[in-house]
Amino acid sequence: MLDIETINKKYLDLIGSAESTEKLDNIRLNAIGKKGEVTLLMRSLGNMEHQERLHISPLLNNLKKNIEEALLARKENLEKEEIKLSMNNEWLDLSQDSREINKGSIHPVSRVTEEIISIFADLGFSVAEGPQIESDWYNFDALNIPPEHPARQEFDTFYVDGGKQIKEGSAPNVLRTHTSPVQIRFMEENGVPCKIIAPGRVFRSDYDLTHTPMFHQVEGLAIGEKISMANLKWVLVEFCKAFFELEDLDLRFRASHFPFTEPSAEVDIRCSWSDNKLVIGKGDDWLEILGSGMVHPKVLEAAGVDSEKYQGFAFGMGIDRLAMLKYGIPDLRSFFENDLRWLKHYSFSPESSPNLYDNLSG
Amino acid sequence: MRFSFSWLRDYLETSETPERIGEALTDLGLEIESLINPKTRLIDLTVGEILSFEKHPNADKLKVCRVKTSDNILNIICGASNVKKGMKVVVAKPGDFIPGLNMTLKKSEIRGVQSEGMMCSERELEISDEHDGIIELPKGAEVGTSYSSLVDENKICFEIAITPNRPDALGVFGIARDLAARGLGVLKRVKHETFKEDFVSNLKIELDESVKGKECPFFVGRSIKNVTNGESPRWLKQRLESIGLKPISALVDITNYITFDRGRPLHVFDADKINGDLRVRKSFAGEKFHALDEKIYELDAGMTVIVDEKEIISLGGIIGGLNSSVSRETKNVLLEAAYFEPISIASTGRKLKINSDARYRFERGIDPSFTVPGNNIATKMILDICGGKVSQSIIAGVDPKPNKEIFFNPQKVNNLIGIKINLEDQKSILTSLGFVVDEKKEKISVKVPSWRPDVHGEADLVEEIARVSSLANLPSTPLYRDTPGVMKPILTRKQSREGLAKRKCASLGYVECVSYSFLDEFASKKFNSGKDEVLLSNPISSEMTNMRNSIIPGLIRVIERNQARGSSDMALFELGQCFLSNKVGDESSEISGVLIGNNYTNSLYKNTRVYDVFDVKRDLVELLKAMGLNFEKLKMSRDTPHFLHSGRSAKMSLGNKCIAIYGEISPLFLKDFSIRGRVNCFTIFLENIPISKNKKISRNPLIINTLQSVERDFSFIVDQRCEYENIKQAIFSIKNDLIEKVTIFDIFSGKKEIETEKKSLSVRVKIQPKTTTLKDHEIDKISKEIISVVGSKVGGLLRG
Repeated sequence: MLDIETINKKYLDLIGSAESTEKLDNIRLNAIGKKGEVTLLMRSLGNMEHQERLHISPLLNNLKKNIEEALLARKENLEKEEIKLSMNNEWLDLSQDSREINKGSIHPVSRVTEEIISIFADLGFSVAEGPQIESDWYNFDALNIPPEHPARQEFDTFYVDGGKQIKEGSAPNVLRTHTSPVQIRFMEENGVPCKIIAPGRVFRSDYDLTHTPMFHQVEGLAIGEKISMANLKWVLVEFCKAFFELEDLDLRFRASHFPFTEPSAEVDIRCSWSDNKLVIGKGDDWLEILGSGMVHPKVLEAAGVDSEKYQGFAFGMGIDRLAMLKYGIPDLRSFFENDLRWLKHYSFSPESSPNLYDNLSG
Repeated sequence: MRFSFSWLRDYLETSETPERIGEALTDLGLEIESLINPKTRLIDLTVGEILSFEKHPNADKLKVCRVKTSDNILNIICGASNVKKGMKVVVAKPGDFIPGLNMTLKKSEIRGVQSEGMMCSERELEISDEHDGIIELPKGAEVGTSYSSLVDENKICFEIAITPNRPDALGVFGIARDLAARGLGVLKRVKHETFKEDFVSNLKIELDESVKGKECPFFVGRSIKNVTNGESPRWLKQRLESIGLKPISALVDITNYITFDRGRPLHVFDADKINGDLRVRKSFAGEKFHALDEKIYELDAGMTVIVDEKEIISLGGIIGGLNSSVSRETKNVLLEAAYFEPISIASTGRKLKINSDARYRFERGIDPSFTVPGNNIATKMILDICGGKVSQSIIAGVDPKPNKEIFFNPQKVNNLIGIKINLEDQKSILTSLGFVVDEKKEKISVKVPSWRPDVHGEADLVEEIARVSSLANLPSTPLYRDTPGVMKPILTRKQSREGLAKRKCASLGYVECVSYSFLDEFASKKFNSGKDEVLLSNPISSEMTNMRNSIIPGLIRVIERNQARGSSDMALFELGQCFLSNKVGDESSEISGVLIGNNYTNSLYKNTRVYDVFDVKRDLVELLKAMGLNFEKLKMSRDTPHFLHSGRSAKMSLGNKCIAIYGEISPLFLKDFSIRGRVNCFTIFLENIPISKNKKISRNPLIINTLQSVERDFSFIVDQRCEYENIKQAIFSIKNDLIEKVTIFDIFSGKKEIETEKKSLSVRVKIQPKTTTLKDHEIDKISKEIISVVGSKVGGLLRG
């Protein structure tokens, strides 16, 4: 008579005391593997008599099931034990430096240009462009700066060598000294009314603490039938509030002179200095931030616009200077030196592009 | 333009403080650059009296003074030689700031004796350079009063910037006129100078036809005999000194004074050094002129000169001649007041590079109607100061009397500025500036005064009214977006692509640089592949002589500088314009990137290696994809610029347009730069990337094929310089649309089983069934086709 109970107990004991999944697997083979004890017993059922088979068969099946369940349970236990054991040996010094990632960045000039565009876009201005090598006519004459006018000398113009092509007497091309020629080009091509800004590189032959021979300007131009200097003030106040993220601010218009605007005004923003740091928006001091005015009738006419019917304003601001004021960058010259230490410190991450619904400033 | 407060008060009766006047000037468009007012800076200093003094016990040159001040008697040690008993002095007490020494005074011990204060010299108070002794105040000065009330108003000095449209403000009188119009005082009336004319001069002055009515329309001369050209009187010297001019002699000082007082340049010749009569004419090419600045100028043809019968004696309106200049011995003079036309003055002055106070005023346009009065004022001053006998004036040409009239709509002020100013106020402002206003129907007539060459039309009058009434009151009127509803994008596709390229490049790990658009000649020539150099006629430095024809040389210079500062691993990019010729519009918008050094600086994780060409290729491909280019459509060729390594660079084109180049910069080429390591780079020519007209927003539907794809690997033995691209093209040339993808996964050479000049190149081909699972023989058929086509087209043999 088969002692199923004994076999059962034998294997359950073995399973219970197995110390590794390897040993457990041997037990499995010995019990229910192809040539295992239980397998052989089951195979012997065929030789049994019917009655006996009826009696033994369920018992053997049960035995097999018991062993299988025990194996499974033990296996899971052992696996957990083994993981625990290996985890005990897994220890890392988490203070060590993480893997590096190469982070690129966006230069303050690009960033601030995008900020300026975002704000003016919301005010209904689009973006125009023009060439950096410009003709004498677009850079000067069309802007009411005739040859030999003393105003021309104030621009410290770079002249482009004409080579052999330029005839004696004809004016050489210049590196544009301001973004204002874009006014003329845009109005010639698209007519009026219009509202544009034109950001870009400009060049003047000047190099000292506060001047570089190349810098960035943004031109503004709004022409319509009734656009006045009071509108200019509103646009600039709104721009400065958004740009400097101030609830309120004070701009001061001062009479000045630019050949291409009449009347002309320089615009100061209220500020103060504390501990050698500039605070924009409040205080007793004023800081000049831009030049502006009502577009001179001669400029409109040069661009083919009826100056009896249309009028409007123009302004020009230094982009680099706005960046310096907003982000507290001290030295203009350092903008174009591309010292990696400077770039790492003052540049912007590319993930956030400026927008008005979330965050304008970087 | 500099002037003192007391000079201003010659013409402006005012009770305003210098600070208020300064603010008003800035607001009027005559921007204050500096206001030096010792009165406010020296407000702490008080008047003291030296009661007695004795020699310092331990120093021969020092004295110990007993000085009476407002609240007590102080012991002050002083080294000045002009110390005397009863003298009224300026006393600084401990805690007072001494501007000339840039320090706050403290009690101190000098050679064993306590000094409780200081008696100041003018230099210590930054009033003048005087440091010979301490300031001696008038006897009547009361002890204890603030010194500032005693400061000479000549010492209060304004310096203002005059915009080029305002020649009328280049004299103190013109500035006073602006201030009076603003309401900061009353403009004093200037009386007409009268004097007796003693004789008729026989000197003749002739205007040549070439200048008459043009470059020199009017000339007023006057002979004055028997003058004494001594030192100027004290008041005149003080005036000139207050604006930093050195007094020379009475005659010179008088002309200088009138230049700054009335903006009217004049010239005085020594009549005994003039040979015969005078002519004003145009110069001939090559004529020589010996000027007052002791330089000899060679003139071009057509410059306006004053000549006697022997030589050029003056470069009209710019500078006088040395040979006819006045000296202390001068007895007889010829006084010149002429009008010269601005453009010729500007062009002559610029060509000869002469900067004089006269040129500065003439080229901006002095008052043409002030020629006779200018001559009269100078004559009277010479008579008063130097004595002598005066001739009648010698006149040549016609007095130019500008007579501009503008019809002005007063509504224009509100239209243009947005400030409502009533008609009466508008008229009063214009009148106070010297405009003559005459009301006629709806537009009023405004006659422009002769001293305002800048006023041409209505807009100019609006400016005058606006600036005098002050733009500080400018209201702010909304100018809303014209388009209703939600804001629309405003960038052009080109603009938005440039922004995208920058952000993509930065997110790939590159640091954006902004370099000068200039290059040095060496770098420019090195990188230029046969194009014309774009040169500046007047470069600012030898490092900035050329306009860049590529962004890469600038980035190479950036690498040089940063390597010198100790950086070694760099990924840099820049986007901007490059200049293809000196013509307008011949520019190209490019983005370039460079890689040098290792991909990671820290080798802890064993993933550090030197950047190679496949790093830039990856980034370039990512950039092109981001810009919407189908990379597969680009044609690759190896005809790259000379500065790239011929074996390790390529060009990508679309049709006949070059989209991009990339590769390693030739190490041979880099030898001329101070660069350690190899540089890989790319450039995208942004304008050559087509902009599709129709923006496609909706995506194609996603089709997921549920049939399992099959991959087959093939290793071919090919020539060493056989390009993978050719194998790939060959495989796709089978035109079996089940072949979905070919990738290269292994490449090697140099092993025994492979002959030299050959290499093994392994590709994996992905076969994607479309409708039914493929049978083995179908896959085998494709494999055979692949092997056969690579054999026939590329000469590749399947490796056994």
